[in-house]
Amino acid sequence: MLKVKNLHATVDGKEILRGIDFEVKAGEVHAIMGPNGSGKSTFASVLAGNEKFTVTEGTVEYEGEDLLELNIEERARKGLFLGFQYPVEIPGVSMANFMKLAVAERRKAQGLEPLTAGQMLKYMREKAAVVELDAKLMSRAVNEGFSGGEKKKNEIFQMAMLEPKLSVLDETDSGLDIDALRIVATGVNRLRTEQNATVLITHYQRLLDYIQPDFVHVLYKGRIIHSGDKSLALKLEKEGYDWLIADYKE
Amino acid sequence: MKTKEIKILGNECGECGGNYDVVADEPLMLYQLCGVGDHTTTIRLGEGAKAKVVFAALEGGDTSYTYRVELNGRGAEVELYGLFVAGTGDRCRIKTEVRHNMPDCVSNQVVKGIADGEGYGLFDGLVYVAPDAQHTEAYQQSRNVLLSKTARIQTQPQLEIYADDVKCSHGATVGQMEQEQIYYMRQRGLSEADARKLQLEGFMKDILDRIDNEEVRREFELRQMRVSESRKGIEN
Repeated sequence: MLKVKNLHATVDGKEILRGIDFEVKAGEVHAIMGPNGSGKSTFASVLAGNEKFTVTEGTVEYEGEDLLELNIEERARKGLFLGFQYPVEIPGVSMANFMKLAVAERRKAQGLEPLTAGQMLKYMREKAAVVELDAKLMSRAVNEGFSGGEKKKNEIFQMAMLEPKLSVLDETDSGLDIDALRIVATGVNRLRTEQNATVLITHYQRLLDYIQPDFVHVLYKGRIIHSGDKSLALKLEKEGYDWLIADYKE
Repeated sequence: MKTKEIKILGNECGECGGNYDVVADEPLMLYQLCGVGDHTTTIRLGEGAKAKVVFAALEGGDTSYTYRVELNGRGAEVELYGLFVAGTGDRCRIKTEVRHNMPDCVSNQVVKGIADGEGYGLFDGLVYVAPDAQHTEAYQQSRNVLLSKTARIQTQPQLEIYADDVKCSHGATVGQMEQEQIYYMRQRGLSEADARKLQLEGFMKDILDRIDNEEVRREFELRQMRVSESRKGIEN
């Protein structure tokens, strides 16, 4: 589904990603861990097409296409979803209106008929229930006045609405209490199929107690320096990163 | 108690010059969606009187609104909500003067401005609180966005307060549309043009939301749509 080869990217002339190799197949869940400032969020942003970053080298193939040739919305419409670490507030734009347009674009790209107003309402209610998100929030402005937990649930709600093929969740667990974490994780697990894939970017092992990853990777200084299975996350939790990154310290 | 509702949806006011004396048992609701010209309105409020004004300059050209409000009786309340959009060649000027002459009065003003191309906008808002006007509550906000590098908006909030037991606040901002919001919407599949349109409508929405009259609301939405449609391709 996703093949990243030797990916380099810069922001304001500073190189953040320094040769990432990474591959995801349908049905898989990958976790990317690593200390602060190692490039995790940058990697997620570059996959989403954030124009703040410049790709200077390497290739990204998504569903057989050159991902880097596509703009932000083309990637989204083809089923690439980014769960934001800091979901953005958009005053005056209602969730319902926003989702109506987003779902219409996604369905158009999938060759599906648009939903009627009634179907849309029902669909929204159904998906809101997946993450125990109060349906009343649909009439409010996007993320405005939402609590930290509601914002993160809202990301997973949008993911449920758009039925992405590849979801990259950037620190979706950060700032969540244990109940919200459980709800978010349950939502992600319920959306898992053999056809889609999830990349979890996280600081903490605790999210991985709820969502079982098939692979765990350590990103450090813009490169994946180590990969393993779920047991790697446990080891990192106990022993930290020092044993891994000692060789890379300058 | 029946509200006196006045709708001015074009230039039937001529160059306006509206004068309103408002009393407690007949609140005033004034809507003004005027076109090019100078529109000057004076509102005097007696004891316990209430007035609410929603105005917008969405037609371009040289459009100015001037409101002079006198709170002359205890417990009077006034709300002023306004919006202007100035494109190339347009000059929009909003001037407000709210005078708290008696105690226990409340005023709230929110004026939003958008300028693009080489448009120019001005907000000049004065709140005056007389020495005897204790327990005054006066709020004023001027929020503005520039959609181009050559657009200009000047905002001049002024508070003149001579009483000591008052609650007053004012805020003024001139900024650009947030790119992060556009990015977020595009990440969900919206085109950049649609994202810009939504964002602009979102900015105008809290003024629209002050309109309870269906006819005025429709008219406002229609003009607002023309504004956002014609500007959705514009780069920041």
